[in-house]
Amino acid sequence: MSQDTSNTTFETSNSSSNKNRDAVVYSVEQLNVTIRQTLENQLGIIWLQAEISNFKPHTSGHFYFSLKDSKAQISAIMFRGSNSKLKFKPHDGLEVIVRGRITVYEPRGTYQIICETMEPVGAGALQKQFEQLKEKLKLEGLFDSLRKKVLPSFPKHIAVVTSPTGAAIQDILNIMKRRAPHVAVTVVPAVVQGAAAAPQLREAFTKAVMLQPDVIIIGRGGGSIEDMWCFNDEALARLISSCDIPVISAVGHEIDFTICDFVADLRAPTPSAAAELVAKSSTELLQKLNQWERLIRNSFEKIFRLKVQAAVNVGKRLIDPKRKLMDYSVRNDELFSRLEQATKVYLTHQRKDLNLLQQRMVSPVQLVQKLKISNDHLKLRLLAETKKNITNSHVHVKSLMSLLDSLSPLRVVDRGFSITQKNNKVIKSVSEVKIGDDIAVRVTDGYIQATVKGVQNGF
Amino acid sequence: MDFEKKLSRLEEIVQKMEGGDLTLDDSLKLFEEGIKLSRDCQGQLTKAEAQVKKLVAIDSSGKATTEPFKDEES
Repeated sequence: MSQDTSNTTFETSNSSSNKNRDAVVYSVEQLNVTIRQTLENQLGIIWLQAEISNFKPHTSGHFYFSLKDSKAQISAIMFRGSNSKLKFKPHDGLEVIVRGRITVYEPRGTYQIICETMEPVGAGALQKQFEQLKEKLKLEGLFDSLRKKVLPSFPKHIAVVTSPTGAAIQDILNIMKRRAPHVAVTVVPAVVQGAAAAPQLREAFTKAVMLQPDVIIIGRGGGSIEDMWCFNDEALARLISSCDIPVISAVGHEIDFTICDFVADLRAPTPSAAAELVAKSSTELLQKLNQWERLIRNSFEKIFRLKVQAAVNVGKRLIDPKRKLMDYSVRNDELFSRLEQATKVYLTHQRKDLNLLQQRMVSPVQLVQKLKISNDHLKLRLLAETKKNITNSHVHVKSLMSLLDSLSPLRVVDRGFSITQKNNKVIKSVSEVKIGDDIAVRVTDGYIQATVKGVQNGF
Repeated sequence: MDFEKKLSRLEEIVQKMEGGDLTLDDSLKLFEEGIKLSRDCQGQLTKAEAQVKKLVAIDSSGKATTEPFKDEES
């Protein structure tokens, strides 16, 4: 701001003396922004060939260096994100081609190139050639995954196309010896670097195919991109592609890719890894065999157990005839006892019933006797009763006679009283008689005949 | 019998045995055959033959001339 103010002051104070009134007066910041925009817009992305100098990899991972030629130089930065993709180590004096954009670091007013890609000069041309061939073969379908053959599950013979003196064959043989000693290995020698390498590799590969192994490994150990260039040979690629034996390509290290790798049925990152891929299937096979053996044992044991159990079960159902006879005998005895017992019980019941029936049954003689007894008894009872009745009657009669006697009017007469009768009717009142009537007066020993002479009412 | 045939026969035996409904006699026979095959195959796999050869020449009929591969660096 203070800068702006001073600029404004400058502009104002000099306005009278400045004849070019149309000229724009920038601030430094404005200027740098304008320069940056101009440079970026005008140049954009550029390719630059130069030599690296003053190379400083920062702890942040960014590379700071200068790019120069005999007459000039420019500051350069390659950020970590870009430089991590490099397949070589940049160093002072290395001639490189970079692709990048020019930018301005405004606080310091310096311009520099931000590098996005970098290739060593010379390698660039090879790389371009490589990309072109790769694209061409890819378009032809040589890399199609459908074309890729599967490794045999138990290779017995493998051919290795490589240098017999290199590290690669040693690595491969070590692993095969350790992991899959049963696999026969034929080394098909070839020079794997230099101008003669490509035709030799082609020839060796053709020979390897003629051996009809189960798998062909083609490769070499690590080296520079130029060293491995023979594996980018188009004719070799076509040979590998048309071969009907599975091919494992194992060129250089993990980061190295060649046309061979793309066209082969399987790419191993290293020769050792290629051997591991072949040996792995043997290990798997051994595991499978062990597993099968276990399965067979278990299955057999299971079947055996089942059969033994079945035999035991059947055996349980088989009985010794002697024992059966004994069983029958015992059973017979038992049944006999039960029969005996049952008979006894039955007889007892029957006897009881019979007794009851006998008890209930009376013989005619007895009946007659009984009846006779009863009859006699009744006769006696009848006699007794009759006697008793007669006696009773006598008594009764006596008592009645006595009663009657006591009540008899004659008894009153006996005591002096008399009964007066008129026409045999007892006179109880004076009114029943009138003077002159004949009356009879009964006394104890007869009648007195009288005539009524008077009647007196009351005493 | 070659290795592949042994393997496929072994696989067949495993399947039959796993099926379970075999007579004791049959299962015993299959068991013996299976274990023998498995041992043969394992033997073939683990036998340290390490036949490493180097191709010297190969004629047009495909007949190869080889020699034992020796560590040429040592």
